[in-house]
Amino acid sequence: MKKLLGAFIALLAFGAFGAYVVTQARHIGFNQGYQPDQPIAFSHKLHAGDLQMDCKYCHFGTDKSRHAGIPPTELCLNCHSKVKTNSPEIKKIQKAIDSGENIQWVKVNHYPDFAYFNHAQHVNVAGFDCQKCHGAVEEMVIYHQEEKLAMGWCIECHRDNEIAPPEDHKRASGGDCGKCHY
Amino acid sequence: MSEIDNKPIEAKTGVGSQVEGYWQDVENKVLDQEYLSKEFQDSEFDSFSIKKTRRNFLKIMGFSVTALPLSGCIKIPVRKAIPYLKKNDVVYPGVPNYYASTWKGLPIRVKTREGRPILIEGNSMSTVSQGGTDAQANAAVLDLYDSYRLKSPLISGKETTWEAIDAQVVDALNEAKEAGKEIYLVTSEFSSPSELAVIKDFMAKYGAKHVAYQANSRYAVAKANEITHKQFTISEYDFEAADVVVSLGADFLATWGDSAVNSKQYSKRKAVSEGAMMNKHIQVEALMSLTGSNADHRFTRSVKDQRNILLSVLKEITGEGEGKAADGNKEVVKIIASELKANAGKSLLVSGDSDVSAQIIVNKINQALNNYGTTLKVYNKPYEVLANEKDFEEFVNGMNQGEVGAALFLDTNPAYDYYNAEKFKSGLAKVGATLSFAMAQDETSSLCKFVATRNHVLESWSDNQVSHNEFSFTQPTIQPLFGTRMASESLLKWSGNDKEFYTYMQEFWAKNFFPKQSEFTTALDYWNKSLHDGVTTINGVSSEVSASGFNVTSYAKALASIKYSDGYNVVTYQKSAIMDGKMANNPWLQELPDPITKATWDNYIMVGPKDAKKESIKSGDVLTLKTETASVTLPAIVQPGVAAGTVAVAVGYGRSVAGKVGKNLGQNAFPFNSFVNGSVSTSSSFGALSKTGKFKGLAQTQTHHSMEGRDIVRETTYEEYKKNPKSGNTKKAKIVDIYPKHDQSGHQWAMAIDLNKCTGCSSCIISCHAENNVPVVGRKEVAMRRDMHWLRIDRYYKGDENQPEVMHMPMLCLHCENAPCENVCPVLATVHSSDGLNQQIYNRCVGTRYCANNCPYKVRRFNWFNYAHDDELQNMALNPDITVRTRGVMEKCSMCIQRIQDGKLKAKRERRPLKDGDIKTACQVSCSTEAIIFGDKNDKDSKIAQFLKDDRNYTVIEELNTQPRVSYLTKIRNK
Repeated sequence: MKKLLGAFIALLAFGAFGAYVVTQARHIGFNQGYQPDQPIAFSHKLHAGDLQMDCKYCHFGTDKSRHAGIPPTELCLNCHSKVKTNSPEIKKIQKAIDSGENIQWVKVNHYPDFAYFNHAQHVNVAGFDCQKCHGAVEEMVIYHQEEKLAMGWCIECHRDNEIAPPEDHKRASGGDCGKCHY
Repeated sequence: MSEIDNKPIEAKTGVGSQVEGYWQDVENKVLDQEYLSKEFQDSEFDSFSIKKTRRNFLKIMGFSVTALPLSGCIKIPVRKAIPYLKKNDVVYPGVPNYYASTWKGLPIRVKTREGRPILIEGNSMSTVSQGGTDAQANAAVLDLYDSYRLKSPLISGKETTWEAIDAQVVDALNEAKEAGKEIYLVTSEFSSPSELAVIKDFMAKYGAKHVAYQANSRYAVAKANEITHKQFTISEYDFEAADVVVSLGADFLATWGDSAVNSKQYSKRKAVSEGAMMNKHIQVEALMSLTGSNADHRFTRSVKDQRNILLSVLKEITGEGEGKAADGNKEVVKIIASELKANAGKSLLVSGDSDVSAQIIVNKINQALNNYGTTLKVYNKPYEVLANEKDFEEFVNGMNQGEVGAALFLDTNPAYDYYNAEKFKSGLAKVGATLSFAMAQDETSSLCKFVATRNHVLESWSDNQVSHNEFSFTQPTIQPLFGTRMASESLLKWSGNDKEFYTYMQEFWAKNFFPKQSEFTTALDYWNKSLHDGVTTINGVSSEVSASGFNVTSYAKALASIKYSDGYNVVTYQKSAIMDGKMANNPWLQELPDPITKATWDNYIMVGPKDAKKESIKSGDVLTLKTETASVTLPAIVQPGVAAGTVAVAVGYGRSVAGKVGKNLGQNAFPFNSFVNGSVSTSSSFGALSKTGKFKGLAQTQTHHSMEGRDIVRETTYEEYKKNPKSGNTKKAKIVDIYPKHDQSGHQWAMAIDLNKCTGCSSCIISCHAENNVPVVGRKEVAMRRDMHWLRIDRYYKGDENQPEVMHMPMLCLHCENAPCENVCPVLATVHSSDGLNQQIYNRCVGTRYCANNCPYKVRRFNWFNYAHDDELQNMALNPDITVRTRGVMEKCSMCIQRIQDGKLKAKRERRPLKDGDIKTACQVSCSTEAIIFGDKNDKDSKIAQFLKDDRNYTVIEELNTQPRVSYLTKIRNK
């Protein structure tokens, strides 16, 4: 009897442990809300919100490439060679350019190597606002990952918002695995 | 794991039935049931299988259970995102840039991503190559990222600075000049106007001499033209214009001349479905070459017989000489002479003979047939530098006599590939100052005092005379990775000219070529346009020359009087991947299966079936081949179609100073060559074979290849085809269909491969490697049948084993409509897409390999290990749009899904419907013969739709009702 009870408890513990593992494992790789500190205290709220700069002024790859891109450091100086040159944060930019040691931003939005995503397709072709996936960036002082950016989240949108397909693309946003994984 | 050194299962011969005339290899030509039952050898699966004991099971379980929860505690790794500091205005991360360039005289287009060259394609703007490429050009991108390359110049083997080497080299050159000794610059063959000008400046400054040397040159052809046309040049051939092509041992589709250009022309006459009239190709050769395997009529004849045939044909056509066909050659001479005569003025005779007399006779016959001006033309090409074996011989003698004060070697490696390397080395030791421009340490550079390390082609500027009127540019597509310098820049500097070579070249063009055109008003505009296109036409540089009067009798006498010794005639040849061994350190090329033998990573002794029987040799038996000058001990391959009395060994192997990949693979066969009658002969030595009693299995990608009674290859003759285009393709399998149909709307991708155009050159395999990050697995793994080629080319033999017909059939994932692999995947990692592709989803795959088991075409590849490049630098050649697969994942041809995606997205961005030709697969682009057609079969006007309707179209093993999306067009032989 004791033996049986022992076995039962062991089984129960194993089961609970297993359930814990499964629930934990489901969160692996989902970085929703990730808000790391950045080497330069750059505020999206100030630039995109208060000053109403176009996102694509800095993230100019959005229209033509799969990558939106982080702006080249030199681009900051388009304004900051005149504006707020004395700020210690801006001095970091000047220092990076002078020394050749570039700023190492901390990557926030990340999708794995086996997934393909194309910014141009969503922004240029579909005409989406950046906020649709990135949240109200214009209100973020420190940028964070707003959405889940996971497969289920992608598919949900593709299923609910069937894009009006061009004449010859019947399944413009079809659900083939190979659309994103190759 | 020692299976690879074990003998393969031996088949009993004499029983069983032949399959529609097709067979596989000599030992197993007739297959018996016992052999068939072992179709799948098990070595692929048993190297590291863990013994299935209880203890091992618990160990693995325990590890897995503890490892799993740990993975739940992983923190988000901090990933850094580093932008460009200063971005130029042409590079956008994620968007490829294309640049026109040239690789060894072949116009190419280089794809770069974020400033890294990752893929080489042919430049379709060239009127000569018309977009054709070859395996070497495709593989050249990997050489760029070879970490074995030298990183700086060397003095006495020690790394040094350019300032130091410049000073010392100039001193050494002046010293040699003052001492009244010869200064020699030895280069390979090239055709760069600007570089030639630099070399002339250098020669003028130091009174130096320039000698061109190349182990695989066609010196005899150039020398013959010098005698018959007063031009030391190679004729421009037009295989497309020829109604009859007769080749005596010239492997013009692979190693004789520019294979990409020749293949392009050759295939135009094979395009019967596009309305072409087929020409006739007759090949006479001593060993089975790629070209011979494509011939309509192929005759196996020794080199001696080939010369007899040549002399007899000369007699038949011109009446000159004393040629009399030997008994065995009468029929061949009759066919060749009658075909040539009947097509006089539009026939072409070429010969691979390294004897000058033979080439003069070839010229005579072509002249007598009035072929000059139509199928071949001779031009005076002022910028063409061709190897001169006689001059080089004199140079080596001069070195040995101590007359040479300084020797500089550019892109040449005579210490390895000269037939008498010992003599060269002893001479080199007597030279005061020795210098090599080697990119990576080789046999010659390691003996030189100075190494002025040069750039890779993809880091260099140059120009080329591609043909009599086409010129092309070589432009850098990346900054030099290491502290290297273009050889032309070094020579400029030592000539006392501080100009950059780029500026020098630009000025050269402004002075010499800009005035020859009228389209552009400024030299800069002209330069920019030419550089952008990569190729430009310049008239008035070369003019056609006709034959001067020459008498062929003495040459015929000389050829007839060549003495042949007893024993086996040793013929050295080049494998179409490794060629002369300069690219031996390229893993893609080493692992590329030879189109004929299907062997990788090795050279071997090719023995004909008759001799194999006589000496009771089996493939894999290690033999010693000994002649007066050389000896090698290598495994044998019993090769159908090798002449009796001939044994062949490939050069390009046995590199003693090379990187990790190319070092000590096989043995060096160059010492079998010798200098006879004024040229280096590849077939003049005779020797004996002896068995060592050892066995060494070769890493072949195809060992069991019986078609097992299935009509996998369908073929017909041209006569039959003209009567009925469906001939050879009349069988229709009875099909009972139980599968639900897939939706056929939208884009539906399909591919058709024209077996009549495919020559089996295997250039597609290399471009597939490059495009799809296909790993290299190494000799041992290939021997265990774990090769990873997504695309392979199956080769089948038919008929008499001494004179077989050969078929090449590219085999890749056929993207079946009813794919057997899809049904058995337990995790839905291989699925059917809405556009008709069979997709492999790596991140879902758990590696059960059920799919590979269930694939009737054996086209799925399993990652037994993490095969990421051993040489980490070579990861820079990876295509960033494709996942690098990890251990335990199945992979296979994706039909270049990334290119499909890219083409569709581009069309959408440009707000236009997708056009036929927008999407091309990597194999399709690299196919010089245009045998591969890809497109949307729902697009009624597309080429693929037309090819699918063609009467020659069929699918492989259609009785299985797999309904492949990749179909084939029947092979047609004009016999």
